[in-house]
Amino acid sequence: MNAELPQAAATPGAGDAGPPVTGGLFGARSMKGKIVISLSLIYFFGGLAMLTALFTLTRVEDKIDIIESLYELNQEVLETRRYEKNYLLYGNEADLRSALDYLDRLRAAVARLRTTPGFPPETVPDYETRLEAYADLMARLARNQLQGAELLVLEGAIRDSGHELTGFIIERDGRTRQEVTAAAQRYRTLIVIILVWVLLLGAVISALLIGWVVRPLEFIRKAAAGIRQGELTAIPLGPMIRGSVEGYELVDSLNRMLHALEIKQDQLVQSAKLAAVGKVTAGIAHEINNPLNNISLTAEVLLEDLPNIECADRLEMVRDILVQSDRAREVVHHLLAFTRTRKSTSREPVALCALLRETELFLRNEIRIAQVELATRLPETELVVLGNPNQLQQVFVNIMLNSIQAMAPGGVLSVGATAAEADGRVRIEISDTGPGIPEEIGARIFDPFFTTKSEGTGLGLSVCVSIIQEHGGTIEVESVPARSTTFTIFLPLAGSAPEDGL
Amino acid sequence: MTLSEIKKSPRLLVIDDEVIVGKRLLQVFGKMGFEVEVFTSGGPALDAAAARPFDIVVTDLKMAGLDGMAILDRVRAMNPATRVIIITGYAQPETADEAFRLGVFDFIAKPFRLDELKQVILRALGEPGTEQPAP
Repeated sequence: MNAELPQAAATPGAGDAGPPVTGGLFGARSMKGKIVISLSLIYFFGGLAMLTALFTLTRVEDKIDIIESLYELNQEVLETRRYEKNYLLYGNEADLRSALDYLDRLRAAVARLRTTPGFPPETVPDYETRLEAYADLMARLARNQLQGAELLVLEGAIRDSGHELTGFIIERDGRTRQEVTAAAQRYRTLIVIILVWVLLLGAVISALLIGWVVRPLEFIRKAAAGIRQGELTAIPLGPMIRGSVEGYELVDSLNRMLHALEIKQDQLVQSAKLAAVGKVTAGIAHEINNPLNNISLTAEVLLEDLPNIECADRLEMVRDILVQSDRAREVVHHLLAFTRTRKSTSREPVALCALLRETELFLRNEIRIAQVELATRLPETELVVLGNPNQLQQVFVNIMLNSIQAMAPGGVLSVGATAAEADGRVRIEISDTGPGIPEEIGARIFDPFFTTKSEGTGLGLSVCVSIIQEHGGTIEVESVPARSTTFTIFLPLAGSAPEDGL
Repeated sequence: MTLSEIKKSPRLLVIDDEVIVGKRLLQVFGKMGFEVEVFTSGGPALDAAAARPFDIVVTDLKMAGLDGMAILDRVRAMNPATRVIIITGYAQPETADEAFRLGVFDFIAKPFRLDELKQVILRALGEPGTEQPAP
């Protein structure tokens, strides 16, 4: 599945040297540093674009001011020239005076133009000269009452001079408008360039962020799946994880948590196991007290009557004592084998049929005391699964005990195992002829702390589920009310472990 | 204490699926002058009791088929004079209470000392055996 999941999982918390330096963006090793630098780059370009826009807008605003001032100036010129023309046409003195008055307003408008920001000031004196030339001509017109050809010459000069005043304005106005258009054009180009850069930068940073954030997370997710399937015990601290401070810290704390959980789980399994042992005390007491009784009874009879007992009988009695002590030893041996703690993650080939038979032996007396019958259907050829025999036996003991205790005398406990055809799994069926599980309880029987017994812990079946899941198997229950309950466990056969199927 | 002081050849029925218990009790009580019959299950034992009543029945509690309580009940119904003594490897107060309610003479936990059982049996023989109230 993942070539990066290495062989040996790192032991959590064991001599953690800090994460080694493996470069990164401008040497930033923490994800935070990388993100800050990336975002700073984007902010920088964004700011640059904004400043450019601001600057261009100010420039355009200035140009618009100039155009407005030129328009005002033009209005004054037109007004002056309208009075000039009226005077020249009709000879009305009042028109001439108005024209002369307007010349002053014209001068004021020129002065304003000079202070308009962005207006090329070197053009103003030129215009003032022309204006004063026009004013001169107008003054001459007002001063001497010229006649005939002379007047015609002056009138012509005035017309030309006035025309120049208008022409200058039109030329300036046109140029300014061109400048505005050019500025807008430049600004548009600049914005497009910045946009392209930001898009490119965004794409690059997104790709890098995926590398920095998503890929380690994906790696951790896959490792977690591996842990769930029992292939790993910790998330490996590979080079990708060591590449970032946060990734290293996250994996390190996850591994510590896993370690703590494993300890808790072992404790839980052990306590559930001890609870199961508590339930078989009747059988154990019976099974030890009986051989003890046989031994003490036989010994007492020997002691009391030794000289009168025939030699053959003595031998038989001594043999009885030995056989009975073997029997008691066997019970203690089974009990110890069952309660022994083995590291929960250790796996070995387990002969399933033998384990089921051993479990039946362990529960022999419970079966006898409950006065139920045992029907075993196990195949001739041994079924081998990969697992922890101790934990698997715990599952079988728990389920069989539940079944035995659920039945009235005369019930039948059936235990069967078959290799399921194609899928490389073994199917174990444990069923009883008890009252069944009420529908309203249903699958809650697998919940932790759910129990219908006053003295139960409610841990038995929930631990069974977690043990079976750790072995890559499943457990199901099917119940017919007032008829039967069947637990079906599927476990992968050894050699068909789904290591390749991740 | 000898048996002759009490009764001639009292009849003793031993029921235990532990074969050794029957063998040893047969050895001991046979020598003491009892007429001992040994069975490893309840059914044939009850047949024997029906054929000829016993004075004393010593029965195991937990057995396949008929258990000690059922034997106690049937024997007491057949012959109220019979004293029933239950021996068990798993003695629980509730079971003992129930047994006394059903009229058991005594309830002995395994492993027991031979003397203990002898005392109980002799005591059972010594007491007059008609007054047991029906449960």
